[in-house]
Amino acid sequence: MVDDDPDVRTSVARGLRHSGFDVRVAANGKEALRLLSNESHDALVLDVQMPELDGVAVVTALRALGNDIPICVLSARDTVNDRIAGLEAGADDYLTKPFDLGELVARLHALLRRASHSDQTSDTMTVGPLTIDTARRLVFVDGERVDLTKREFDLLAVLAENTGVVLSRQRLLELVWGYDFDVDTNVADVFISYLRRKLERDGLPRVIHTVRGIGYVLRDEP
Amino acid sequence: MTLPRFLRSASLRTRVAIASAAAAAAVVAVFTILTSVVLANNDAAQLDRRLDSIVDASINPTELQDPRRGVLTTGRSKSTGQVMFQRGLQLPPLPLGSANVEVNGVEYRVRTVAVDQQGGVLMSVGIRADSILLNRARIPLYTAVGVVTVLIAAGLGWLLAGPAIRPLRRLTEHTKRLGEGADAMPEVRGVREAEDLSEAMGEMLSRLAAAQRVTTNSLQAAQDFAANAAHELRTPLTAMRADLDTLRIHDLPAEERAEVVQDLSRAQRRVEAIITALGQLASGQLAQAEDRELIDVTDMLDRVAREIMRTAGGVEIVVEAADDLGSIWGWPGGLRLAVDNLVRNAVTHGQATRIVLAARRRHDTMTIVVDDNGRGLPEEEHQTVLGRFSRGSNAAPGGSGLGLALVAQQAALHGGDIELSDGPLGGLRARLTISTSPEPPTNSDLPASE
Repeated sequence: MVDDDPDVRTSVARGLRHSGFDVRVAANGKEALRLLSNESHDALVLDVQMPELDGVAVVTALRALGNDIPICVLSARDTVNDRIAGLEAGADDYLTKPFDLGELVARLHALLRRASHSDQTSDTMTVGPLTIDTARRLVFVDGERVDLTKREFDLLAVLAENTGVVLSRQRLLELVWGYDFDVDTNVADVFISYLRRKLERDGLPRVIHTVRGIGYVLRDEP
Repeated sequence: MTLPRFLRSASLRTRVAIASAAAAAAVVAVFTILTSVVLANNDAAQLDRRLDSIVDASINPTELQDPRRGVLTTGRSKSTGQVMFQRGLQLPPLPLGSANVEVNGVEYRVRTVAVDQQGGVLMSVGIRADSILLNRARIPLYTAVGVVTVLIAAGLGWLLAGPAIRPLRRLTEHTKRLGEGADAMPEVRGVREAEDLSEAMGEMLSRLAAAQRVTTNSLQAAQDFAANAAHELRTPLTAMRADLDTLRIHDLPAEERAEVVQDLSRAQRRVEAIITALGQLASGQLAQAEDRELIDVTDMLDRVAREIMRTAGGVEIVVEAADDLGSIWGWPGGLRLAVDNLVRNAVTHGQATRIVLAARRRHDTMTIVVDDNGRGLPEEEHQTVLGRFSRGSNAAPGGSGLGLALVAQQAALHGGDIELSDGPLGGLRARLTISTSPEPPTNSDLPASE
């Protein structure tokens, strides 16, 4: 649990402890990275706005080091923006302050369950210009490699396994994040927008389509 | 060196006058030449006609003449009116004197005289009187010439007025372009009125731009401030929410429960402190000159010391200020708040046990120094903690982050400043300098956000 404010740190860590987690706290990014390199941790709750080293930098550093630890970032500003600081760098989910402790606990449990078992089938899927190598976790568009964060890849893989099938947001949250409970978040939409931005970078046609009022579908033709 | 303005550019009025004069002169000149030529030709034609008449009369005295050229002569008996002789077409009987008559569709000027032969004869002699110039057949020609003249005059006027109003047109184009992104007004030269207009518009634009910049800046500052304030409030609320959820979800033993409740009420006080400080900042921003009062500084310091010693406990506060320090003009609430914040900071964040409040007056500045024996503050933070929502690294939890920002605001309002340094008592020294009769700065001079 990383937050620069002592009150938030104390209260959230206490709440998590009472919910059955073993919690270590850090007051800034530097401390967090030091803690993570010394001991093994299962999940990270990370404030975005911090002095010294902020949350986005911590996520970037961890992902660059190949650390796949599930990360939930705490965002202080509830901007109606699909660019949540930290998610693009590779965080898995976000919560806007102030948040419901029960919500954080439920999501952490789900993320931990997801992380513990990898149920990826090892094969290669092709949809239009898209090639997804699930064994090596690589994505190619027209033969060119596209860098995706872990969560982006998982989302794309789920969509590809269900090519042509419309998946609701709820279903995506369940399949990709493991949220099999009611959850009030637009994190799926945010990640869909990241995926689209990366896959359609060079003016390539859209492969992830929105089905209004229902959800999203991956298919070759519009 | 520049020429005087009346030499550099003519007035539009002058230009239009010159243009119309030139157009009129051109038209008059052309018309005069045309008229002279036509009149000269006409004179010649009339002369030729008369010569023809004379030649006719001399060479062919008896032949029937072409009625269009000849001289008509008709003699009538004075008594009977009978035609006695006739050359050419017959003229009607006429009295003595001159008259115009029409014969065979052609107008003749006829002079009738009495000739004393054969018992009295009235002889009428007529020559053609229809004008070469004033001829019905020429009406279309004249009309055409008139129309062409008007057209030429209009064209000339248009051509000559073009350069006269060109600066105005340029001004219009510039103005149009302003809406499409250009933000500066190029100067227009050539016509004084246009230059004046262009200058006035330029000035107006720069005034507008300056006003807009001020608005944008303060809007930006207000937005940043609102975002900061929201963030600052969100943080204790996050802690409170987590604590409340902990209490709600888990059935804690009494001891832990008490700890959570204590944290909750601290976070609640923090929210309260932030809201109070925000209100104080806002009222400092709106300070009016007429709200100033005479403040007895020594008395004020005494009251601050007494008040804080009473509430804090275990703190010794000494006031070192002469009784004859006198009064200053200022905002009593604001100044009291500033000194109060400095002393409370020493107690809360510095954990000081001894605080010395000193005031000195020199000319028209008053210096209030707050020394403490507390933990002090790392030197690199001496400046940064004055900013809004910034806290010292060793600050006690629960502060609003606005206390020193409020001191800085009051210092600026009172025409002075606040300076932090390491103090002689081992803790921090805060030196608040204020003017004894401050002029309230205008709102735009105040730092809107730091």
